[in-house]
Amino acid sequence: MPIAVRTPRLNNNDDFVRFTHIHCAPGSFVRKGDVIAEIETDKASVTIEVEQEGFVLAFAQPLGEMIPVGSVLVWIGATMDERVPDAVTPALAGAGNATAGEPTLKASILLARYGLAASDVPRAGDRLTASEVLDYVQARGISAPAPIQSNAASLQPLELIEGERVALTSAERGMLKTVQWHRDVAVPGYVEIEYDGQAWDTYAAAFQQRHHLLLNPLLALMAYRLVQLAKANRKLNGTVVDNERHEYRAVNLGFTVQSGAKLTLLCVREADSLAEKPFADALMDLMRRAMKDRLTGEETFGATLSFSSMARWQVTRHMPILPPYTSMMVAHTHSRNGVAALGATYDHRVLTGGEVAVALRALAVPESGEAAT
Amino acid sequence: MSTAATIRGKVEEIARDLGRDPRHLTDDDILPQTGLLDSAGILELIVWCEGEFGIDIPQEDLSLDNFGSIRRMTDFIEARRA
Repeated sequence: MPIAVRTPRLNNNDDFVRFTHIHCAPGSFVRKGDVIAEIETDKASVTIEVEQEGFVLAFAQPLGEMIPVGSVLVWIGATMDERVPDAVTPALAGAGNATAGEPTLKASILLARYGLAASDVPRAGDRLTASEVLDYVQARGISAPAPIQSNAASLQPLELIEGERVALTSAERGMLKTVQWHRDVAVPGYVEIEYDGQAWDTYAAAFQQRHHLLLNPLLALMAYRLVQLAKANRKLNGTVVDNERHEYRAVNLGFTVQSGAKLTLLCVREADSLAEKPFADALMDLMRRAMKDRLTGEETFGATLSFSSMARWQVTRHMPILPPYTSMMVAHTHSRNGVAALGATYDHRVLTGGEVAVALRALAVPESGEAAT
Repeated sequence: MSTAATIRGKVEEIARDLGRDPRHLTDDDILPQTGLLDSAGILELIVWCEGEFGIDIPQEDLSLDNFGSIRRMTDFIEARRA
């Protein structure tokens, strides 16, 4: 299975970066630390290094274009003949020919909207165009399940109701993309179980006392338990690319933090390599810096599995939106009379409700705790 | 306004945002035990203190001894500002 090198976030304000240079042409063998590409924003330019050796199979983004943060930039394979997932395979013929054979951006959006692969649609020129995709779907009567881009405001008779347009903040644009991925790409389901939170409360209190902590570590410890479950069951830590399941090698734990009106999904990278206390420390540190708006791009990007709690607002049920390219987000809630709901939104393309229920049942008790109800 | 009163005002604001009644909180109550503020609420308070009083608080100083109550926070912050 090829490894995706994704486009990193350079700063919190830029959701797109320009792909400026290719340093290793497809077919090249690269070693860990080799510079493979460069990207830039108005404020910064950075080189992209590979984290594992292998062959450069294909660049998935057009050179010279603005590309979305988080998108697959390049595929690395253990051998030269590994197949690159079709949906993200606008392969380069060479380093100096960045776009030949690749659908145009509008065509790519339409392909995704109609659930088509680029190879499905005949093209006349070097690049598949939007009009060619539209001709194809109209000729076959194919309809899209939903528009790829819409918002509530566009459904209103704007000309009849006075108002003002307010630009979205970077965080709000990020949320918009997340909910659109959830709506347009994932097949979301939701399940929940009831559980007795006493075992977790006892476990967290003992942990807090043992380590002389100021803050109750309950949520951090539950999130850590989730990481351990995903480490043991890699389906929880994956997504679908084309018609294959992509199981991430590391568990990057996403965790929601609300600071004022801003909701942030921070990311504890390679959480599965941490022990319980260092994980709790790392999460607390990230939460604190999230509240100061001082997270780096790496710390807000790349979650492979997520945990969200609304217990502090006494919310007894919530159904989270799946972060892009993940298959599960756990929803922790407020306990009433010792009984609480533990839920999860999941991508049904990756997981079944039964698998999620089993995971939630395991999450309902600390590893060394007593049995749940 | 005194440091303690300023901190108390913020504690009460966060507590009210969370739908909790802070009227009976004393300066010596151990905040994590009162249930008024959860962990994120205490973190929010600490981050606010850093900005309000112009100090940096290292992670290792985040202890019950330094931040367990309004009085302890006041003593810690005034000592740092002295």
